[in-house]
Amino acid sequence: MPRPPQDLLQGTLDLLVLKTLSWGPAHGYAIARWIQQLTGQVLDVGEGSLYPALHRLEERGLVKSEWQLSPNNRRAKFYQLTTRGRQQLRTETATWTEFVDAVGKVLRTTAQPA
Amino acid sequence: MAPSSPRPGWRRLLHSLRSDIRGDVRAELSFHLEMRTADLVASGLSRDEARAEAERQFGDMLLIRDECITIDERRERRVHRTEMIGDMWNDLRFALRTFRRSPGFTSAVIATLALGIGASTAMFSLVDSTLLRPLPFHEPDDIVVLWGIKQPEGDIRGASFPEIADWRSMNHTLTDVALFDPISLNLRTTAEPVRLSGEMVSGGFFQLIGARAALGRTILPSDDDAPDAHPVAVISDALWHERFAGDSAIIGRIITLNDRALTVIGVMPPGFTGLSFAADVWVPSMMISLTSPASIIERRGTRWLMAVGRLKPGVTMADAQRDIDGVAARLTQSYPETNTDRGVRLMSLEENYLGSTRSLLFTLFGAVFLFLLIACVNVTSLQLVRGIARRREIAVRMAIGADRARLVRQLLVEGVVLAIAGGVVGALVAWLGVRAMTPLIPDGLLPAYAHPEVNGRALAFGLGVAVFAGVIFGVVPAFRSARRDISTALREAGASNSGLARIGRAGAHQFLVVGQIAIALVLLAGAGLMLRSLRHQLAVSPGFRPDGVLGARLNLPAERYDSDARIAFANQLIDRLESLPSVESAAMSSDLPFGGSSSAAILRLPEGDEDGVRFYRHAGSPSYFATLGIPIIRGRSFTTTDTKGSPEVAVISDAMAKRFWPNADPIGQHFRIGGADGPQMTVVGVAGTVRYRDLTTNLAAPGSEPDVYFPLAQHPASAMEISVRQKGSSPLSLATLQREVAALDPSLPIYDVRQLSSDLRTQSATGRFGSLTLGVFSAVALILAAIGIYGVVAFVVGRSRREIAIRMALGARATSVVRLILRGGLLLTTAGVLLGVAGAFATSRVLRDQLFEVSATDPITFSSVALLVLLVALSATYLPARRATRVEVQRVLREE
Repeated sequence: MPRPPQDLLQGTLDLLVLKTLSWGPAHGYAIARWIQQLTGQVLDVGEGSLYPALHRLEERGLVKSEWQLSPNNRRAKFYQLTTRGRQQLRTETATWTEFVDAVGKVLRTTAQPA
Repeated sequence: MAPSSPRPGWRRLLHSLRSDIRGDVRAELSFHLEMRTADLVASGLSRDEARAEAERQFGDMLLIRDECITIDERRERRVHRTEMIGDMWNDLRFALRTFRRSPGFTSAVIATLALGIGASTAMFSLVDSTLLRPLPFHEPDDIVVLWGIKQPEGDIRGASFPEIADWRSMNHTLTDVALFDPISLNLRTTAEPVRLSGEMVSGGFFQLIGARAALGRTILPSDDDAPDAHPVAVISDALWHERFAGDSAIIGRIITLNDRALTVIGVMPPGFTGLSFAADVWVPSMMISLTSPASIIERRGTRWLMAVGRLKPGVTMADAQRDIDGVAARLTQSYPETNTDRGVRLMSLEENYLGSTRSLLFTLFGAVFLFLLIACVNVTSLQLVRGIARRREIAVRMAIGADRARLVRQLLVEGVVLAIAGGVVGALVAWLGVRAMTPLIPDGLLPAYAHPEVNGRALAFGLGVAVFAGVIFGVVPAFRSARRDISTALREAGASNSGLARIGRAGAHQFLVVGQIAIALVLLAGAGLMLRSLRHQLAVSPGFRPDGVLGARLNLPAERYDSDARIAFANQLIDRLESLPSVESAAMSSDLPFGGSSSAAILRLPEGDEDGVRFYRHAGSPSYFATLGIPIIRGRSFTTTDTKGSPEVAVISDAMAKRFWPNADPIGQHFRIGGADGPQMTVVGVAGTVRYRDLTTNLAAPGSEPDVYFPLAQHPASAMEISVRQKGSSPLSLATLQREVAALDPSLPIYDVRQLSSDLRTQSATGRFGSLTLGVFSAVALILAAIGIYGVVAFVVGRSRREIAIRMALGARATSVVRLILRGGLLLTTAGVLLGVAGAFATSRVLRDQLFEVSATDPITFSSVALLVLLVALSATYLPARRATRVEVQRVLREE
């Protein structure tokens, strides 16, 4: 059985961020809004926790950042997936799906294994 | 920081990282809050409510901000580190690639640096081992040597027992004064007898130089209080192991030295060999009867001893000299008979050991420094030439955005790589150089303690030189070419028509070429002077025929040999030796030429001045003159009838005869030895003048000290030299000589066995060594200078191919083009030669001590050296010039 990430929430947040960025460059606020819209509550611990996650991803070389003008003409820091980030998203998505499948299988099983 | 605006690594480092990162994080987070607030306002909240709600939703702002900053700073540091390592690595790879592309340039620079670094490192190890290494005594800088001198000449004569005692008690600036005399003694062992080097020292000696015994004790003042009262000896660690098997019961054991029983009281630590750096045994000075009559202790006028003292804290050499001058003046007053015109000269230990070697070493070190300068100049001019060749490359790189700092760093890396390569090869050159040089160093040139080797200190010195030479001299020109304005550089690099006529005009290259020529000339002038001096020295006739003559020393202990026994021994040994088939003739004498053991005395002519004349006395058997090949010019040699009872006779040197009896027959003349009541001698013969002590003293000068011979039978010495003239090509073996001596007395060691011809060669060894070393340096310097000239001319000519082609297309003949180039070369060379001659005039004075019958500004040497340099420099100009005219005019003109 594939192991779930050590810190479930942190790992999930990273995966969500990578996923959001796979649609294209975005600043932190946009990422936060999208995640909220799609999940409703994952960021309930505080939107701010998104930022250390973003900076850590940048440190790991999975995303890169650049100051650009936002659509409303404000300077904002835009994040973008790197090639490595894209690869990471693929493998983590696969792991995650496998993990969910495995857990699901267990939960659907009715009879105790021999 | 935005990746879109790259900055050079070091400048980015200078930037305060923190402020950038902090500002960025703050801006990013506040952007979020503002956007959220705006959205909440849009959904109907008031401004303040929206702000508060946004902050609530965000969470702990300060905590998050700090965490982001921490992460970013960590990332920034890592990026820098890898960036710097990567840059360095890139620079290194680029440098190596560049060198591969120009192997000629690279190997020229490395070879030049290696020669310069190697030579200076080798020389450094020589100087280090002699001048820089602290002497192995306690605070050696405070130890002074006191020499008794004869005024007004200041000749070193040594001191007598009573004088040294007075110096000790009457001075105020020295903590103590100790007597010191290098001696040699026969040690009787169960096997063959051994000759030992030793030191006769007064009681305070060991305390003064700060040496302690490893076993037992050293000689103390209480061991040295009365003549022959304390027969004790201290031995060296080496002797203890070699002759006594390191036996721990050695203390208290009796050893037999010069047939006298002495008790061993101590063993010195390993490596300690006394002030003479050769001693194996030490005896109290009151045991003088081991080697000389004990009555000498009382004689104020019998001088040959050395004394050492130690400066009191805070006392300078000059203070002590003034103090001891006062002591000498008081002694002159108290003892006018013996101490008139007697003084004391203080010397540092170093001065005492090095003497004139010091000036030779400094001269050679100076020469090596000049040599290194030439090497560095060569590297600089090679770099300049290459800098110009690379100007286009550099300009292109700058035009496409490489910044200057980066370029300079790149060039610096190249310089360091070259310097390291040159340094490594240079260390090898130094090692080989020292190995090759060591056997050539004449005996006695370096003090006994000096053993030159390429050690850690020498390597550190070489590394320093490498960095200095490679980085400073290599990079400065490169930096210069990097500093140039891009557009000028691009333009110039495109059209290379700098002009042939420019060769002789002032510029960086030209300046360097002139400097090189000048330095090479200074070195060559030095070598030339040394060589001429050596030739003069070798041409000097020693006054005897040393070839085929074997010399050996032997000591007849006074205990067993009175004067009759000595004469009998000498006669028997001569007879035995002369009966051998390989021996033509044999003789015994008090000393031999260049043996260093001549003794001096005073003679008075009947109508001469009161002072008398100092002369060197030699006692010889009748066969002495024939064996050594000294011609008897007038009168007769000694015969077997000159014996103890017969009238006292003397043979004088030709120089003495000409000086004292220029208009009379010297045969039959009289003189007295010592005072007016001394024994009277009759001159019976005149011998050719022999150079006993050195080859350079002018023995015909009025103040010189003549040589006088006496029959050995009338003046039997206890320390004697055996001399044997061998027949043809059948040399006498050492074993045969030992066997013949042992047949008469098996307890007598013979020592210092040598061919007299090698003693003679040793006389010119210093000159030989000096001229060889200087000669090699200056020859290589000349080659380097020639390469430098060749390089610069070839470069200028190479850049002027188009001009040459045009000139030739317009009908100029090859010779006129060559002449144009040569004119420039001649201008440079002449300037260099003039400068060099001026430099040689200014500096050759330092060689004066080393020169014999050659002026330090010898015009013949100077002009021939100048001519040589001129010729070499012009050929170095001619070769590239000649090649330049062989251009295919059409091709060159189409090319550009």
